[in-house]
Amino acid sequence: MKEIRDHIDAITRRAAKDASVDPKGEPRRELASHLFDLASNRALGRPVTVDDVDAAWAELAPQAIYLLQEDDGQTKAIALGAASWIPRFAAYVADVAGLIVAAATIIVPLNYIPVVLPERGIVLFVGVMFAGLVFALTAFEVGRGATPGKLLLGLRTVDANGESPSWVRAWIITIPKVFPPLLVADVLLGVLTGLSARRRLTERIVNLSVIQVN
Amino acid sequence: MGIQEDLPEEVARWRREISKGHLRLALLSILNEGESYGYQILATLHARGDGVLQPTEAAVYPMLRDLEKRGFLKSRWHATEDGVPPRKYYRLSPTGAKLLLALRQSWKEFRNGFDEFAGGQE
Repeated sequence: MKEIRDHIDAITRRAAKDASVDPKGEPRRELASHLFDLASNRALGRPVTVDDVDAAWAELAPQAIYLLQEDDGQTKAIALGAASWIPRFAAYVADVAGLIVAAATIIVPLNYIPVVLPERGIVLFVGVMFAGLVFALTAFEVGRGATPGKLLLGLRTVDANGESPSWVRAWIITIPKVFPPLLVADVLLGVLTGLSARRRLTERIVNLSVIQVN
Repeated sequence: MGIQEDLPEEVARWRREISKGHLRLALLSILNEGESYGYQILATLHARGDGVLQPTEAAVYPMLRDLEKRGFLKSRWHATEDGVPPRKYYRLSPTGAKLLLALRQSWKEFRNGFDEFAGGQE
């Protein structure tokens, strides 16, 4: 049982640190208590295991930064505890790579189909295809709370309630990603104007955060 | 997406907004029955009232702390067995009990008044 408690302590201390909340404070201790109760619920009467704790944490983690808040859950709290830029950049690179591979998978076979398209038609086709792929990325954000790249890196996009974003909000944060200079500006403005250095400007405007869940 | 498809989402959104506003009254009512801790309070909220309130941990815990900070609740930490994280138990303060009475009265007035808009008394 000491192993379980130490494991819970390690998880919740890291969460508190990520959320810029005092790791000795009561919110972290309450998070630990809740995590244990969730794990016990999973264990269903048998001794709680580390796997139970990890599974419970996977369920609880998207809300962890909200549980750790001192106030009654307003906007400023979610500026704390967002994922750092390195995994986010890695997720972006993974998504771009995925888009390129998907595009190539569609375009390359077309070279072998004896259809002659006018130049404008090709441009329109490529444009529609990319728009479709960006739509697919947004659909992931709405449906799973993360793009494929974010899923790979253990990141989630959440709103103030810890839930996946709506379509409108997901579009707003996705659009800058299509134009890298715009994305750079989005990041810089977010860092320069925000309470926390970990949110893009568009994310602050629509009140979303990207958090690390594992 | 047409208006027909939007209706369930719109109703769901309204219910979430209504639930948020009623959570405070529900929390105080549960604690009026006796001391309790966060996980248990959450489970009770989900189990009662035909599931009309389905708050998340993220809504309940900060509200409990806020109510305590404002003097409506008191709390104590209770260490259970070795290796198990201690639990924070909340209970109503005398001021909290008065707030509960006031909120219940206010809810009755609001409900009676609003029935006219909602389609009359049942």
